Amino acid sequence: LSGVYVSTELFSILGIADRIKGKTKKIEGERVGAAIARGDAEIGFQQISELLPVTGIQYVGPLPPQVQRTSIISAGIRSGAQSLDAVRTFIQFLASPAAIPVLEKNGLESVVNAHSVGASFEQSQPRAFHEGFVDVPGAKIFYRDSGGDGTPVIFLHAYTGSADVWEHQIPAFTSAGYRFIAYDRRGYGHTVADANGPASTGPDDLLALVNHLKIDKFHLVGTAAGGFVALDFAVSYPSRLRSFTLLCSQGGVQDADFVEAVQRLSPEGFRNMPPDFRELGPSYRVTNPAGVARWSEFEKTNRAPEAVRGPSQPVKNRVTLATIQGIKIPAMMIAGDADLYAPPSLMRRIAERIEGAQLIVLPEAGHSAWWEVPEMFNRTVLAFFAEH
Amino acid sequence: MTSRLAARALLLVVGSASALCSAELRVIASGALTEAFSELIPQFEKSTQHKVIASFGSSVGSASDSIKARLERGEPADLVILAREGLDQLIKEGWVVQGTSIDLARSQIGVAVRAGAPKPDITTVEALRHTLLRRIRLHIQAV
Repeated sequence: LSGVYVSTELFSILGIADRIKGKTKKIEGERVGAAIARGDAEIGFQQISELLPVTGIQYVGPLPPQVQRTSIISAGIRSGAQSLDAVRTFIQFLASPAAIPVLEKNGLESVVNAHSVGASFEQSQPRAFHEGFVDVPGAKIFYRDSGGDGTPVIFLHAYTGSADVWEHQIPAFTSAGYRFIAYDRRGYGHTVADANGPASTGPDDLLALVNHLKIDKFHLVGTAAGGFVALDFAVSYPSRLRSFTLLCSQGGVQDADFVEAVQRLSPEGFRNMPPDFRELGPSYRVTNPAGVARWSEFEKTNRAPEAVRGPSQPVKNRVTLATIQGIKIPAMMIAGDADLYAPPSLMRRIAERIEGAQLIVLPEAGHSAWWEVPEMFNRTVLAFFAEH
Repeated sequence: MTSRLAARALLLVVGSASALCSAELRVIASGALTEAFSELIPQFEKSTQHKVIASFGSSVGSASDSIKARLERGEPADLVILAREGLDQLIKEGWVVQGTSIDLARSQIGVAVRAGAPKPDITTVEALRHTLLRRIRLHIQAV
């Protein structure tokens, strides 16, 4: 698995795929460490747990976090398995205090506790992520859910994103005790929509998802085009929201002068510029080429196959500066000061209309602030949640 | 299905069996677990009456010792443990019972060099890139 990632992604993220072509070799059926020990290679990449035990090599360290690829090792019961009692006992043992240090010594970080596999499982709080589909009219919506009893937070991705893009948010929000949920909006990722519809609406898809997950109230965070759905949802179903955060988004506001300002931001030819140029701020592009490459990977693969994108969805409400004036729930607007689509001055027009809404401007961030300045973004949102 | 439900399903499956005393448990696991299991299995066998027969293979790929190849060859197993992408595929294909999966551990990719060789700097993305471009004659990766 490590080899697939290293050869297909890591080298191109690092921007060196072409230059080291022909200098790499894939190993099947043998440990990488053995080849290094023999002197067949100067450097090798593999799961840490498979490097540590090899003699004749030295383990240097993990890949840097920005390009690390963590895989989750999971257990499942073979169809027709015998000895089911022993299976359960064994899984419990692997999650026990006796086993965890042995796993960790061998480069594996335990993610399950014995309690959660045990008889009192129902009361426990599993940390494992769940992925699944929810049937909604005309589509199956794909979602990821950290589960648990924390206050739910739902993230809505951009036109260039999908449910995959929140890797800098997941650890911050789950470790702060929140239940993290993200989904692929229609037309994106793994979500499958029926070409014949019904197209439904963004807010109704979200409503169906939270109803399916039996979630009453939640925090909603929408970025860019995901913010259009967030604002439409806040207008349509405010009673379900603890708060909503509009991030780097024009919000889908349809007043003529607002639309005219949006159009002025996007001159002739702008849409033909490369997506990373349009949607990542210049400061970030200077300092983080690997992050730009990773963002671009998401951007290139975020759309669902054309056949399952479904018809384009109408809005639930025609959102105007007048309609949002009625929103009474806690709201925050976050703008990147280098955002070419939704600069602070544009988002301020929305914030001014919502009672008590704050506008936070993140410096040196473009249209993807959650990706470009994740620590600052996470801290800002968590502080806001803490008040609501 | 949430993990909680998955576990409930696991308990249901488990509940239907009633092996009270010693049993033989067959496990096919990712190579990432080889070393840890060599220590853990004797411990487990000592503290229970059960016996574990474990074999190891890669989570993905088509090598003859991959976990899927082992199952296709008819190697018996009660439990399979591998990278989640691989497990999901096995569930999809019916090798593993849907709803029984439990995440156990996180595994990350590391870098190694020959014993005695100078340790390259790989602490940052930039350092890793330079290491690979400047110093390296050949890289080897596992499939």
